[in-house]
Amino acid sequence: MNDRTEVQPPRALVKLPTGIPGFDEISDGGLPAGRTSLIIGGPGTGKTVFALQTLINGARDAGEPGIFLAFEETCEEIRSNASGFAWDIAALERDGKLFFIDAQISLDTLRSGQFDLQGMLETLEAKIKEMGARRIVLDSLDVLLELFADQEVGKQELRRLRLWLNRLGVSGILTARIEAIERGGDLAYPFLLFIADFILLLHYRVTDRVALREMRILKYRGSGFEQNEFPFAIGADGMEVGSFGTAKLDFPVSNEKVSSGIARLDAMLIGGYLRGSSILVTGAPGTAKTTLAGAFAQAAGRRKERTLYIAFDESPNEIIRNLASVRIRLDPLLETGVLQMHGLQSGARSSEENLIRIKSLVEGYEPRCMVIDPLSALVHAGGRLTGLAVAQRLLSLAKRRGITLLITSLMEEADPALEVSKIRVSTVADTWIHLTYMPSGGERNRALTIVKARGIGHSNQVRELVLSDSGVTLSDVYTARGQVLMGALRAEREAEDRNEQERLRAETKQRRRELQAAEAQVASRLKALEFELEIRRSEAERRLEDERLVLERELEARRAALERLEQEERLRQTLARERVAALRAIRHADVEAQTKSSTDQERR
Amino acid sequence: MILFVLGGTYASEEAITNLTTVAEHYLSGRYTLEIVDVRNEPFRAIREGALIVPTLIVNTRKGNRKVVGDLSDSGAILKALGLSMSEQRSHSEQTGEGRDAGD
Repeated sequence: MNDRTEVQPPRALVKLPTGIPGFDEISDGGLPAGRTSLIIGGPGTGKTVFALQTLINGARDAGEPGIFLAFEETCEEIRSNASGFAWDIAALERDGKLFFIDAQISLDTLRSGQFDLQGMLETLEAKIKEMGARRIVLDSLDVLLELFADQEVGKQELRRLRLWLNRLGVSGILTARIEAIERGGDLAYPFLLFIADFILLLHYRVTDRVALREMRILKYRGSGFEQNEFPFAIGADGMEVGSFGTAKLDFPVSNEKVSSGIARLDAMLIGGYLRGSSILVTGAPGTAKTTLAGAFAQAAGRRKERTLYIAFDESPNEIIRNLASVRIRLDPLLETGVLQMHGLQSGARSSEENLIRIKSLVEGYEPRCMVIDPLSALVHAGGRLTGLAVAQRLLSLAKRRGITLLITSLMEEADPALEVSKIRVSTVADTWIHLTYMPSGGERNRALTIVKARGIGHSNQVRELVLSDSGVTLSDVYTARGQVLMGALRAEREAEDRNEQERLRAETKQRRRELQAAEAQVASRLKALEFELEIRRSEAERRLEDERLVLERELEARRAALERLEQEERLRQTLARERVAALRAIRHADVEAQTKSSTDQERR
Repeated sequence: MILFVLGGTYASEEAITNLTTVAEHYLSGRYTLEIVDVRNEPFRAIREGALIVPTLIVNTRKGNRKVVGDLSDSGAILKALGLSMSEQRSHSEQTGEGRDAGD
């Protein structure tokens, strides 16, 4: 043993993943490897679970065998307590990866004089070397320290333990009990705080009769860490830390629409809910939140999509029976296995514990659609702030897996805006549908409003949700003088409207008949006119023809007359020429006769 | 009786001395004592639950009793042996009925 090397050469800090969901995130990688980690907390806060889970995860998943040194309980007690978790301790023990050492210091163990830890450490070192152990748990340290009469000796021995761990490079996880926080939270051995490289405080608070577990890292030598308090739960798989917020928001996004199961609601949402989105349905008791959830589950089941329905504080059978009255039949879907329903009790467990149960159901069944009905039972189980955190985790759990999640939540207020600050879940959900009762005309009717729908154009109108033995549907509502009318008032109004429409229809019919008659009249007149026109046209034509014929004849006559005149002219000319010729002949004869006579005279 | 020790350490050497002194005085030979050095038999120490060294394990008919420490307080040893100091003194003056502390 080299007790003298108090000052260790600075070594790079290596992190030891605990494998506890969420814890490695808040501690930026896990516990310090090869060093001393101290887990402190009041009785029953989960110190042993934390230590054991880290040990088991290391042995099973990280190839780091571990030793559990049990001072407080017997190994059998620890095995039996751990058997409640889904850890196969027996297999790890069989394979030599996990080893329990019964170091219980029973009440009748007597103390006589001085001792130190040297012998124990040598014994442990032999075992560590034999099985190649990398992690060791000492549970709990104060049982060991109680043996030392003198605190100074205890402090010295603890320092020895720390150096020993350091030398072997084995990660030590030590648990120590503190008084409950309510009683001051004092540590019996305050020097533990100075010796450890890492300190985790676990505590446990009871609010509204529900246990709420929280953890906080008090110290982490040489490393950054989240300083806030984180809720955690202990479920079937062990401890899980609520470390939302540090997780990255890179979920798969889809534009695919899935039916709400109510055709008219799909229409309001332009096709339905977005695949992989979260839908919040809020409303007062009896506003048919479960009906909406059931319709969604039924539609999903009928699409052959695995659907998980988690009911709080109401048995699945009750829900099935009630939904059957509005023609939503879930039992056939349950039979085919496409739908699973689980009833959980919210009261007994903290939100985190229920969340963990939901998570393991999701992991076991891998649903595509999921219903949590109602979320408010889960949210209010462990104080409001933590409830919101749990809801956020639930939503991101669904988102990461692309599950379309419908959650219902009880909300008393009529105006959803008033409730926003109370249940802030609505800010996280993608689509928010609010259901209200609207008292009017002596009855209460259900009204549906889409308060928001991320990524969907949607109708802002208020609709009446009508449940009947023939099914679920939405009905348009009447607004009269700024008031939404429903139920009997709506029916009355509808009847009035029907009468009015009947009257209008009759009137229209009559008017149409009149018009038709008028039209016929006009048409026949038109026909008559056309006929007359035809007659006149043919008459005119005939007259024109006659005139044309007359004219033609006249023309012919004139032409003939002209011809005659021309012939006469020609004849006259001929006659004239003949007369001229005759005259010439006459004159010639005359001349000749004269000449003859003259000649005769001369001769004479 | 089995005494788990770590050879060469002060507390262990003291324990051996203290135990043999007391046992000889009160039981005078009517006992068996095995001394186990955990350095040589660490797994036996683990099996027997003798992590703290020194540890004395006394097998009585009623079961095992453990005493941790250097056994400088002989009252604790006697208690483990099922004897009180005054009782034992009177017993040893007679024949001694310290059968409780058998092997």
